[in-house]
Amino acid sequence: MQLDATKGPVSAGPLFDAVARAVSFATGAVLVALVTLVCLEAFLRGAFNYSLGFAEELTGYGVVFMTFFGAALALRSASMFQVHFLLDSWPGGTRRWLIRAFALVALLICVILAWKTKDLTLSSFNRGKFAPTVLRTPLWIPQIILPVGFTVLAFFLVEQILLTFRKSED
Amino acid sequence: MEAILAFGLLIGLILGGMWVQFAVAGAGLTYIWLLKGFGGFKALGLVSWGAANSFTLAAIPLFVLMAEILLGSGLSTRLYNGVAPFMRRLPGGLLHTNIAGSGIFAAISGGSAPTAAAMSTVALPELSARGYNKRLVAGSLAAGGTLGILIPPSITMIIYATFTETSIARLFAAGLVPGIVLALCYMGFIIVRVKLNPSLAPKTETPASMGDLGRALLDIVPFLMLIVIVLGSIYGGFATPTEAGAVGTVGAILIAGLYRKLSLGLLKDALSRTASMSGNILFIVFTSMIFAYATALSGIGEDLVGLLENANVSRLTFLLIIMVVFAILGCFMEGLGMIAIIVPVIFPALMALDVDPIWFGVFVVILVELGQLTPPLGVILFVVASSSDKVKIEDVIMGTLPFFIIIVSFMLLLIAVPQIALFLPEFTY
Amino acid sequence: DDWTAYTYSSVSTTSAVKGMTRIAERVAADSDLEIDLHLGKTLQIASADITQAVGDGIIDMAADFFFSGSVPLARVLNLPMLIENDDEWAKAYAAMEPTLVDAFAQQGVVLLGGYRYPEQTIFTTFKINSLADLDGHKIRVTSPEQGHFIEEFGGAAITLSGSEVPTSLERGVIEGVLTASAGGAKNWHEFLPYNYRFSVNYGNSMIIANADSFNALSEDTKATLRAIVAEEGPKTTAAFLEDEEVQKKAQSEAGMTLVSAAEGDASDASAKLAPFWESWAKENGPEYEAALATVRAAIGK
Ligand code: NA
Ligand code: NA
Repeated sequence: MQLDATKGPVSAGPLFDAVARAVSFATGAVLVALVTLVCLEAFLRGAFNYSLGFAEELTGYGVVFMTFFGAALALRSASMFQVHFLLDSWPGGTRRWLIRAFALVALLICVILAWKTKDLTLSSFNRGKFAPTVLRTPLWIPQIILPVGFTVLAFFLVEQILLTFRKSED
Repeated sequence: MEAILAFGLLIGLILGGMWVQFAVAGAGLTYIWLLKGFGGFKALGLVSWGAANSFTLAAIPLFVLMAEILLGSGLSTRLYNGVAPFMRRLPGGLLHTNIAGSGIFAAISGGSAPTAAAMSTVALPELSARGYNKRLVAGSLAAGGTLGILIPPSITMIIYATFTETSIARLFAAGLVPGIVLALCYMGFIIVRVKLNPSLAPKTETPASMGDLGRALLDIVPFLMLIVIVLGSIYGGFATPTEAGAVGTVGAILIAGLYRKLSLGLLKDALSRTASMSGNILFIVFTSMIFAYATALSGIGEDLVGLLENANVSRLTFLLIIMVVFAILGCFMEGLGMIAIIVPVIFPALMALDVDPIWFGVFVVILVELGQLTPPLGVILFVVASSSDKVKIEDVIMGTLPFFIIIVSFMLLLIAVPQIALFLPEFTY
Repeated sequence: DDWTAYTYSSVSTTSAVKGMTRIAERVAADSDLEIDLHLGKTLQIASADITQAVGDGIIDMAADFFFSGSVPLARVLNLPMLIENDDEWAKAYAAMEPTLVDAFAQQGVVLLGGYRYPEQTIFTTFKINSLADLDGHKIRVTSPEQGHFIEEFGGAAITLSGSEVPTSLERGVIEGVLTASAGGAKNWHEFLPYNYRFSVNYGNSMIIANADSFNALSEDTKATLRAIVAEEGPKTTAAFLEDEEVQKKAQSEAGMTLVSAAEGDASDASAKLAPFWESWAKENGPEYEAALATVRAAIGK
């Protein structure tokens, strides 16, 4: 699955490209699974009076996945929301330093959130907490999406920082 | 004091050009730190989980995917080709389809973000390509999107009803007429605006022949089939409003297949674009919930409401102040968070002032809509901006401004003539 | 001391929130402890995560209804048809209390007390005169145990997000719910013309505190807090029972048909569900079998 070619994500190296391809493939797979699962639930309920009993639960986990991994793709394809008018009014050098500073702060935020959500995952694991549904999913399994998701976001923020140096060499 | 610092930081970071999501998260973390020190951060794990793990938010990726398939398969171009000849005489032309389309979507989905996301994905590229003024297009889409929570079904109304123990059925009935009136106001504005400045919309001089109109009707057929499938699935008791997104996606795939427009490349492209766009939207919803957590912790909502209650004012002044309170908080919070903080606290005072709870529900829902349209943190603004890389947030904000004024005027009208909301529920129940 | 307290309920007028508010006010008046109560959904902590949030010290105190993922043992009190009336509840809870205190202690939580909702009965969009009428109908359930009950009588057990229940009832996506008149039915009554007054099970909420926060209190404050919760818990239960009657009357006047439980349905359902209690306990392990045995001994079933 390729990212939108017209936006042409600027890459800081093949490693970043490989991770982005994996993330893109995974989000696509999760989307297909979401559509299938939700439709299947509606169909079984409507046609056969049968409920899977876990569609709501798994859909929630799917949303968690889409939130962070989708955001990682948005960041990389430069479509993550930004207000440009002040930023663009600075001279090139200042702008690069500003972007670098923003990326560093964002990186710090991701590290804090990855750390705290890692604590949550461990807490759920140690407590043996599970979802009180038919699946009885141990909650640390879906919750691990959070620290991994923030780590992936942090990874692509590092790429953004690297790119500011490359641009200054040009 | 902490609130002012946090809000100031939020505005500064966003205006400075930081990624909005990280600006919101950064300001939120700072706010928590100001209130509770680093110890406050231990809540971040559970708050993150609680904010992201949501079934109803699934409507956003599902409806976006449906729209992307319509767009990629060319079915949406076909729809606009079909509708265009019928709109030739109307000043503003296809801009009115944004409002009407949003109204139809509003009757399908339970939220504003899915409504705006689906409509914008399809309409923004189509109308920009036809030479419509992009600010006006973006504004009409953002305004149309807000119909999503006013026209039933509406998750926001269900939440309000849960908090206040009011009747959901009556609230649904009460939202319908204001939703339609508001949509007509939007259309009226578009007509006036384009009459005053014809360059905002393209003009075709030649009248359409009967043959043109016939062919045009055929072009609308695939879209009508989709509407029948999706509306039918909800009103036929087959799918819930959130599930309708998945049903719509499968319907769009089937119709695209029927017209031989389906390919693996199209699906891959749609999936990839949907992942990026919905991730962008979901992540801003997520970070604004972290900010909302800090706001709730600070008790500033309760403080504002407390001031209001002690002011000992008339009913009208009370309602006007509520509008101001919501407007202030609405700049920084997403809608459900505002309802959770404000409504339970002011509800007893409202009863004392003899304000009808059903009417107030409609009033609050419109206030929540307004909050979704106000910068710096207006989810709908971002949703519309995310659907095309040619439209900046600044354009959406400028385009939405006149619609914002229409909504505020409409609220004043609603205060003066409460029957706009109340006559239908009183008539039906 | 200054505590942050949280409740799953977001309705300030409900007996549950009124009870928690009374606790906060009385504790503040009688001791040096300030309790700052936040209503449900204001703090972005999911109801199902409240036990963990208290155990991890994110909040100091809470009313906790959705504890079954953290302290599943406590579900024994909510098994369908096991406890059928107030008297049985009182006996069963008393017998289980030491076990529950231990189970919550393992989560880093002090169990201070609790309150109980009125019985969960069956609300439907179709005419219902006995459990046999559930056959072929889609009923929304909130736990696998309730699901088992519905399926036992030929119904389809449907899981559905709470925010979609009203629209789903209106459109026929589902045809009924299990809830108390003073609970969910208060919000959904206009979509539910029939109420079969058959008590399926009870739902209860624990009042809990973080163990470290609690142990940091002075002995006096601890005693005061315990005493006040011990008084206000039962008061909340009583207020709910009163509210249930008020709601039943209001719903009946608004046009809902209330049908008394058919003769024989209760004994029939008990007989049908009894093997399920045992298999439920067996599936979960020896602790659960012991807990079930304790409850059955206490109520003589
Ligand atoms: Na709607
Ligand atoms: Na806003």
